[in-house]
Amino acid sequence: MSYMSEEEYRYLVARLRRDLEYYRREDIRAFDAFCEWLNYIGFGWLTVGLRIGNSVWRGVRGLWRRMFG
Amino acid sequence: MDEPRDVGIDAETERQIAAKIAEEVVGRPPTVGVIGVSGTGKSSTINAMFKVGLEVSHVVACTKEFLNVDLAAPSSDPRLAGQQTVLRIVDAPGLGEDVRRDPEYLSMYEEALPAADVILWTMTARNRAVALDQQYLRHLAPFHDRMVFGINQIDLVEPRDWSEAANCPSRTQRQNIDIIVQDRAERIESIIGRKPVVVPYSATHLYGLQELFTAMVEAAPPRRSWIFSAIKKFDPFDFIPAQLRDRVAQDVGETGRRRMRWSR
Repeated sequence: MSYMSEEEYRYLVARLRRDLEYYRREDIRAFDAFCEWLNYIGFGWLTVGLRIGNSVWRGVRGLWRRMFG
Repeated sequence: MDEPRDVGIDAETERQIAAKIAEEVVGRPPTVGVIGVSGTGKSSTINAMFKVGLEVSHVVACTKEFLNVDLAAPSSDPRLAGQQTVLRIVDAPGLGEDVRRDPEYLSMYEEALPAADVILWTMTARNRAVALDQQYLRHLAPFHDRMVFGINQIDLVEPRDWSEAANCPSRTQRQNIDIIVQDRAERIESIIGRKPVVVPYSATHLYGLQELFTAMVEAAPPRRSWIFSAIKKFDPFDFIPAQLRDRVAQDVGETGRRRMRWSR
């Protein structure tokens, strides 16, 4: 492995933090889109809980996680 | 109907949703339009994101004809394993390769792009001449709202001292990349009339892919963007050199994070 300076390592870590933020943004957007689609196909009742954070919302979140990781 | 599970959705509902997902992704596959002048790494970019095996040539233009390519892109959902999940790529020979054919390709793009959920416009960091891109952008005005602009090959930015050990641009390269991004953004804005999303990346080094992918998901129609996340085949950690991953994960506090199923 070639030499890596401390500055380069710090940048690498900062860059990964930034990418993880982008990943979270992607995940939130994709999940919102999934809920919008559920509503479109007639399962909107599942997403009603999004507003109040009840167990059905957790169910949709869990479903999303299990399917798309 | 089965008893509700602890997650609050009963098994029958879950089965119905899985069937609808299969119907959606098979009936209308997620579609990416890929545009850019010849040699900007369009196929390499798609391969890096979705691992779909588009043919790549580093010597001559690889895509000879205008194509709607359907590529197998298995979902990470085991219940969809039996389904032929597809990523559709609207791909064409690089514009600007042969001026005699450009009008033909542009008109084919105009026909094919309405079906695209998102359009990825690729450029290279080292090519300062963007007049051709601007010219083609003018022709494709109806699709500006779903375009994301990627600046590929940032590893080749001067002074070409990419850090192989950290798989990151050097400090000087980073400064130059910022200047390049600003310059391209201004020139694109002068054509499309709004601030474009311009993302620097290197498909070869898997660097900047997450930012680019997030931009694509955000540009896709609200009801469809989830499908792209479902068939994505890379992880934010992928660009980190393998021997550094554990240390870096610890430093960003992600040691307990479940890595994506397809991640190396």
